[in-house]
Amino acid sequence: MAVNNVSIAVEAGERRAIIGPNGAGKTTFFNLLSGELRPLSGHIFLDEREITPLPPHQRARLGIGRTFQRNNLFLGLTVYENIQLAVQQRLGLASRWLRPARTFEDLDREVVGLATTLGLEGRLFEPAGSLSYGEQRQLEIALALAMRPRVLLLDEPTAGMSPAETAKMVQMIAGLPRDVTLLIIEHDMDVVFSLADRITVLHYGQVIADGVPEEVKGNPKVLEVYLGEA
Amino acid sequence: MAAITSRLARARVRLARRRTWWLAGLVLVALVYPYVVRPYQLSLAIEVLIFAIFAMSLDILLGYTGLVSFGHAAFFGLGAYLVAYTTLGVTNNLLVTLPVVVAGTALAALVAGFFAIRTSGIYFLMVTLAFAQMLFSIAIRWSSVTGGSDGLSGVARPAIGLGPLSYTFDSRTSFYYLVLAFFIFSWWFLRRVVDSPFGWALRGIRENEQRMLALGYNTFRYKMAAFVIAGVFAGVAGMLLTQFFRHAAPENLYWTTSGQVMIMLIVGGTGTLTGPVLGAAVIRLLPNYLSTYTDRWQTVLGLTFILFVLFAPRGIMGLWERFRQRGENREHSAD
Amino acid sequence: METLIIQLLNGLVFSMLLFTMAAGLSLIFGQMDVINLAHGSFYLLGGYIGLTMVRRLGSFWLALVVAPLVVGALGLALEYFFLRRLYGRHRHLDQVLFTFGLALIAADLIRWNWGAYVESVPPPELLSGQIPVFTVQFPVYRLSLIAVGVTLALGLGLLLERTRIGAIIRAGVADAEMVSALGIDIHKVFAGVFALGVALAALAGVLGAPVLNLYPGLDFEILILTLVVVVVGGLGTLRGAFFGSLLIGMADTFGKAFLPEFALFLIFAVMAVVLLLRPSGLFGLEGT
Repeated sequence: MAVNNVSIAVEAGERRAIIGPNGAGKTTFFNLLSGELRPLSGHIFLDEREITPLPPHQRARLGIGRTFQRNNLFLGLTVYENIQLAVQQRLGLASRWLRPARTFEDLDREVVGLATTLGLEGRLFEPAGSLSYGEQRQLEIALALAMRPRVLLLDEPTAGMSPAETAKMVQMIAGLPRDVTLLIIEHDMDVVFSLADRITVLHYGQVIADGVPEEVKGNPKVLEVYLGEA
Repeated sequence: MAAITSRLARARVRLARRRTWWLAGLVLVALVYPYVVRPYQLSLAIEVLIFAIFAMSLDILLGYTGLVSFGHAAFFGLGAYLVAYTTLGVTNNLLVTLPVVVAGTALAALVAGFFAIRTSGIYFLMVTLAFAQMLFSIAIRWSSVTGGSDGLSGVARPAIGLGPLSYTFDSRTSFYYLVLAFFIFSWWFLRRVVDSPFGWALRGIRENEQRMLALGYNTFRYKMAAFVIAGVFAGVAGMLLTQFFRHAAPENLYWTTSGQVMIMLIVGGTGTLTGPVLGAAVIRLLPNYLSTYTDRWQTVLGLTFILFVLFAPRGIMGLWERFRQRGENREHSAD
Repeated sequence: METLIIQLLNGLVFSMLLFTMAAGLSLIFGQMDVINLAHGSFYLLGGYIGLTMVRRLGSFWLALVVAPLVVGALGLALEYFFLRRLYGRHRHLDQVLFTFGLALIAADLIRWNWGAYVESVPPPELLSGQIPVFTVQFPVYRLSLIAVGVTLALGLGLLLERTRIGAIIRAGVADAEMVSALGIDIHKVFAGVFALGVALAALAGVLGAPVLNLYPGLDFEILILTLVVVVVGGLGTLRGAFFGSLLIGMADTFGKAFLPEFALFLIFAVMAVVLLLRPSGLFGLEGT
């Protein structure tokens, strides 16, 4: 089983890192949270409210946003249009069907603003497919942020990035408002230790450690799992 | 950042102005058309306009939402039979027949869509195909209502108005203007839908439905809406064709009709709304010229289609884009 | 009572014909992700080739061998020269469109060559006549079709489950890239599967000619039913093709016998119900 008997409680506003060797079930865990996968047993609660039976789009409406491990963008559309899709949904404009999208000024302003925050304003009208890998990763985050989520699931946000790009990403994530709860899957330990309030370690689909960074760093089980793998 | 948006805004205004001149010119030509051509060419124009509406409706479904329906003739034919039945039985007044066609096709689309849209990709294709064939077989066999394989003839041209103030679109010229009006309305309406946030949502579903769900979109509802809009406009096109030929035939429901409109879309270029109009013109005019040389025009149509699929999958609009890009590149390298 | 038995048997006969079609379609889709909308055209072409052979050479048995071979070769050529250009994840629709164009062309050319009238093909001498089954007299030929169908099902099943080629095909259905990475020429596999699939359709055409006759429009009628079978049974599975054929074959036969005007509506209703309960078909794999 990819995820077996995992029980996690995350506080509002917390920054929780989910780490573990490859195949530990981290992305599967995210898929369960965002609704892409249904659990065979168990419950998921958001703010005391059970969301287990809800499909992905309703969980997104309740404020669960996510990025994907492999870029999951609208490659044929421009950066602007990608972000527009995310923002128009949040602004409740998505079902407006007789006015051209470009006439909604707050939509336009917010799209451009978000793109600028993520350093993408120079590529606004390029197709997402033509962006560099790092820029696509940033666009991934932009889409998730556009939803103004209460809980943000970041799946390996710095994967494949150069040290400079990683540093920028970490800075951006650290700068996110504290009322957004973050769950971050990461392999880069520097990133984990600079961002996380608490760390949960998964191995073969089970939780083997859970605590503040200092505790986890010194946990013999964790060391064995990581060093043993090497 | 303000500079970017204002540069873009200025470019948009320029483009919009140029486009408005073009459109105005086209409308002018269209208005004068009946008086400068022979009746046969007028008939051709009427057919082209009707099929343009039909093709645009499929573009909403296929080009913009990515729902590949091979059974779109179902709604075209349904519109045809609805107007024929109503005209023969009740009245030819558009104030009655048009709402009947719109409501009838919308209802059918809701029912068919409810089953079809829960399926994905391949299954959707086959369910829509089967749905159209089902309507066809009912039309062929339920002779008492549909006239069987002969269809329903003697359908009067439409009239509009109330009581003493009514006008019948009896002549070819007047019917042309009616069809032109429907075409211009359809073009305007569908253009607005496509440019709206809703239209962009449809594109998003086409490009990456999973991501749309993750962003909070109830994609089922959007697909249903697209399906209904497409069905209704197809039905209106079917209505107009029936009123023109004064005849509703089972062929209107047959796969070759679904095929024809699909070919128009591919040849013209999907996802552009202009493409289908061009495609309708090409595919309607081609057999006309070909049939003077050969009976095998369906083969030629099929071959043309295959050639486009293999070598120009984005149709005429795609070729035009490529041509323009090359022109721009040459300009840039020349500086 | 008699009518019931006759219709039951007729239903079985039709199911076996549908199965031969559905197996080919399912194979092609499972392997190449291509919905062959020209599948009905290959059926009709096979049938007409059979007709010509019977008329010119007087042998039904020869037709049974030659028609599938000819159509299979045609399939190989089409795959090699055209379909191959359309592989790639974003060209699935183009592949389907291509087969659709083929169907249009085939329909026109077939009608041009063989005319628009309904043609009948007599069953071979050996299998003509009727024999008693339960309490009715039933044509020998049709009974033999039932036998052929079951044999074919077993044969294909064995081919897929017990032979190396079958294993390659099944692997290709699951993951074509992986098969290619293992050094097997995936193009040859595709070509072979496509040829086999359309040959099966042609075989069905010859087998079915004495029962369904031949006429323009039959290509599409049988395509629709085959598609419904495959949707109901589940794409890409042989078991799905078999049981789907039984369900739809029976539904169609009984529908035509008792509700002739709405037979296809009944089929559609069956399909709708199945899809509501199991969106991937009876034996379909979830999420494919």
